[in-house]
Amino acid sequence: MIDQLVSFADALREAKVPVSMTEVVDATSAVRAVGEIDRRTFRTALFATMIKDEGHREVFDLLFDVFFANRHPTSSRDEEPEHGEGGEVPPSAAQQFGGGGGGADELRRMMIEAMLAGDMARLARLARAAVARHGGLEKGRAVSGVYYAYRTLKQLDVEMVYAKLREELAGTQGEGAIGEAILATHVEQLVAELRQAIEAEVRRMLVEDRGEEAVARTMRPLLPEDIDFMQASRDEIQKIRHAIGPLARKLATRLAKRRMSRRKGPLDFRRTFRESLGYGGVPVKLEFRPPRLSKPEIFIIADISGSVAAFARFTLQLVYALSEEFKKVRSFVFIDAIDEVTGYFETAGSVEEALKLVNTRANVVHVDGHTNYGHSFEQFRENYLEHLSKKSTVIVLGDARNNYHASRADFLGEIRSRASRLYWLNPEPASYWNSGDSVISDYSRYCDAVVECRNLRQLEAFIELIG
Amino acid sequence: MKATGEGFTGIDQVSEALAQASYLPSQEISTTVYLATVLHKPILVEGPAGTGKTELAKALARALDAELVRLQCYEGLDDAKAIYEWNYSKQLLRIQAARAAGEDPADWDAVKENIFSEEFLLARPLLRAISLDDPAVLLIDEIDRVELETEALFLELLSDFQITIPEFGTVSATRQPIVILTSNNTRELSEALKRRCLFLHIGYPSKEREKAILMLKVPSLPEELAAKIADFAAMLRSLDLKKHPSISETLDWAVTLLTLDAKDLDPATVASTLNVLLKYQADVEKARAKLG
Repeated sequence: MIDQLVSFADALREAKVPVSMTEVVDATSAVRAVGEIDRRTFRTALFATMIKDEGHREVFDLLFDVFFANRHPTSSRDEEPEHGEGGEVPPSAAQQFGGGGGGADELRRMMIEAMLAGDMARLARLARAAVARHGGLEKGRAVSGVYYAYRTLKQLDVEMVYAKLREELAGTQGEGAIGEAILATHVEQLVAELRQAIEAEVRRMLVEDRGEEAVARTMRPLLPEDIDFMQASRDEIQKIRHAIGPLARKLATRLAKRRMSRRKGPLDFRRTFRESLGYGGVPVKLEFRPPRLSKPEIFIIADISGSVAAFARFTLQLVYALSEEFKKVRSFVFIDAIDEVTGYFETAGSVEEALKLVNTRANVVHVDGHTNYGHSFEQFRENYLEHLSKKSTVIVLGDARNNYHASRADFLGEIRSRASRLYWLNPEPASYWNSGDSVISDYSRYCDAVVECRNLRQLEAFIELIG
Repeated sequence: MKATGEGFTGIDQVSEALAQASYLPSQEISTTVYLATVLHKPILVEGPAGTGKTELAKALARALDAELVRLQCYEGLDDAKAIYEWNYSKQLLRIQAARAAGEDPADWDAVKENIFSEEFLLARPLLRAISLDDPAVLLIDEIDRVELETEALFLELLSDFQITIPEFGTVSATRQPIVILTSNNTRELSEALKRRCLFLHIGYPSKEREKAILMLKVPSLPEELAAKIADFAAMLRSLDLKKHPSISETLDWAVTLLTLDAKDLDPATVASTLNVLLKYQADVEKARAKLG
């Protein structure tokens, strides 16, 4: 048991979730305290002692499934101990369900029944049958299992599951748009449960095949702040998006606090004098005015062409979530032509909306829609140079892949000389810079710093530097 | 089966006792509370506003028949406000009284001994919580509001249930209180603090739990409407909003609907009362758009 907890803790640390030695000791006593009971309690005991941040829950859950999948054979998220009869569809028997699609139909029907009844244990057993039958697991392969889960879900036909669930539940939530919306949420949640059951089962099979530690290593779960912007899958992009809100809040508190504590303002004569009256006119205590806050003015120039679009989005989202901390934020986007999009952020209800407008309305294509940094900088110089001042910080977002156009770094030099500072955030790993059509070194001599910015962690560090 | 100040015998008993104190815990909450009482560790509670973090401490105090000692944190909180303070004016009085009574003013040691005794000590929440003879629940509310350095004030108490007073010695807990810290997660807490605590995140409740809470807190609410309100709230929380409705807001909404004598969630009533649930105009509009 202790050995297992220790390697579990190691896997968590591997995923950058800090777990101290004392926390492992606590986990051991917690497990002893709750006794050998159901998985859910066991999971909570470990979570409460080893994890100290809600943002780490997903990685914890994933690794928990890997390390303790076979402890209680019911399932991943099962809420009850296993039923006595031992599951109506043992994996070996799964083959007996007719041939071809018939089996899948039958399984789907039973799974939908289980979902509607809220019978997680049964759903888990059915998931076991489904994965055994349709997952096509190959022994000994070092894979994370995403594909197996995908294949199983494809065979079960997720669209059909949606349709059937909607059919079954139709009318239960009342008529009209409200009933519709509630129904949709409900169905969404049930399908998510199905996915989880399948994924958990795939993980369990992988662990059975190759052992906990090997599987944990190939899965390499990432915290949202460590996901690479350029390689994020759709799910991961969602995760990053959701992580930005809390991150911005923390960052804002930190920036504000730092500004407050930096120094005192000028002497406040009136208050000092008023205070001194209490001591017979002797100014015992000097009073100061609050310091004048010098917030930077930010100009963001973002490449929003395909390869780096996600990165630009996240950076804009974070900067606008922090806009209170800056005197002004102006944003410009380009592909081979540049357009100011500040207005979208000011008028749209949310950053999300604004980003949608940026994608649909901004006028960023000049010739062919292939990124052209040189032309975009030239246009910026023509149209917006006069707005820059010694209070402006310019941040360029992009990979500097210029499609072999002229780099025209001199325009960037002019921009730099008007502004107070110029930073370049590059979402590519530093080792790729200057390879192929990347001309970052042409530009870097005009930059105060070129910063590798591949994930939220690096982005956060950068914002803190300039805030 | 009423829990005693001695703690709980099992997780189920925690759930039961809290339910009797009109707080419906999730399984995760009960398990963590139980662990806290067995392992004698504080609980650090995080989660969105209005999900019942502070209420948990209050309910726990009710369930255990314990006294609730509360320390509200704020920027600039110091040890004089949190732990203890010498009663300066009383000390002065004591010295003057000694002089008036003709005690030898040169006998400084005696005076010193005297004025730095328990009599002149003003116990602030932390000291009070460990010196009570009766069971106590100590609530340290919104700990993220104090500065990082101030957190250090709590460390001795949280790990050893004792407080050291230089002039006086170490005060150990006569009876270990249950300690609950809440945080709104506006900043990262120090590793030292986190390591000493169990962690509990109270998120939005499941539909079933929310329905049960609604029926407990608004007894006149018909069951069917409670279920619908819970479903509706769950639906809103799946939207991408600035601020999702919390339990306290769904409770307000339930009361509103009752006052309006609504039997069902009809579109007109919902549209006109959405602002009870949602606190931003942009969110209200988004929800309206969704509901057509």
